[in-house]
Amino acid sequence: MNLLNDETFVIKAKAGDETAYAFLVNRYKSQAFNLAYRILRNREDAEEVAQDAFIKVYEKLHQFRSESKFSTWLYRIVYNTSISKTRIKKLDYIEIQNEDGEEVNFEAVSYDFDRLAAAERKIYISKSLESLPEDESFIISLYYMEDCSTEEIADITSLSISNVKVKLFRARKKLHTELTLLLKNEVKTLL
Amino acid sequence: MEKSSFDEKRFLKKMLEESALEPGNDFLSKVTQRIKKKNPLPEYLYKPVISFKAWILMSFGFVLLIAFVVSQAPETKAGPLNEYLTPVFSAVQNLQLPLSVNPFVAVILFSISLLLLLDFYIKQKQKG
Repeated sequence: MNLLNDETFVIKAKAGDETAYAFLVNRYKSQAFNLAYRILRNREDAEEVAQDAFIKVYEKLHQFRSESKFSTWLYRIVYNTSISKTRIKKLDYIEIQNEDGEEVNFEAVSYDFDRLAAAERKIYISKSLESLPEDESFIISLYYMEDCSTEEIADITSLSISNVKVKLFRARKKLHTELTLLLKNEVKTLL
Repeated sequence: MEKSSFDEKRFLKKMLEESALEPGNDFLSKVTQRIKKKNPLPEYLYKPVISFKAWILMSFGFVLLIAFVVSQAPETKAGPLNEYLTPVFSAVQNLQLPLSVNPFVAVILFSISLLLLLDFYIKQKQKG
């Protein structure tokens, strides 16, 4: 259990406690920044959007009814602000039937990956993430990094749960393909 | 067949965390500054207890009171200046009488006058 839970700080911030809000900003700044970065792919823009999102959250704090987690609400604002910034279309609903059901396995990738130096790993992950469409990159970050459930992701992105699952599946598959390709090339260069 | 113990979720989480970027060091201060700029603290505006019109009315009343006291004063054979001032002095003496009887009333009246003067002074300063 999180001893310093968000709810306590939200209540304090609602009552006008600026320090409590500063605590929430500090706690979620990296998450908000990284999620914005997944869509915008530009450091400056991502930082600006993350700041905008925190200001919007502050202004709308009195509207927050704690029906969802504070983080879910924040990520939804980050997502909407990022989308507005890029002016790209919101996530599209997709035909689930068209999906290829073939599963991917990251085990082999993980072995090759562990042999790389940290700096190299970082480059490969960034490259492979950039190969994904913005929405898939965003969803995969929410699912794996922020431990959001598919229901929460659906709430954040206004997609149906089944659509989120399909997008996650697609993203994993693409990430696997990209990483395998990058690692193969790495082996070739070494040879 | 033996099931692999490989934890894919853990691997992907670790992998994505490794690629995470950090926002600038001044991120928090920038957010705080922008919030303060957007929602500045309400500036304290002094609202005078007594309005300008009330001050004029009070002054007018005071002049009337003096005029009344002067007109009611008995005639004396003193010089022209004393002729006007003596009734004022006697009126003030009359006013002092109850104050000397009850110092508590004197303190209250003194405090009220002081507050009124302060009120007038702040109002004038704000106008300037």
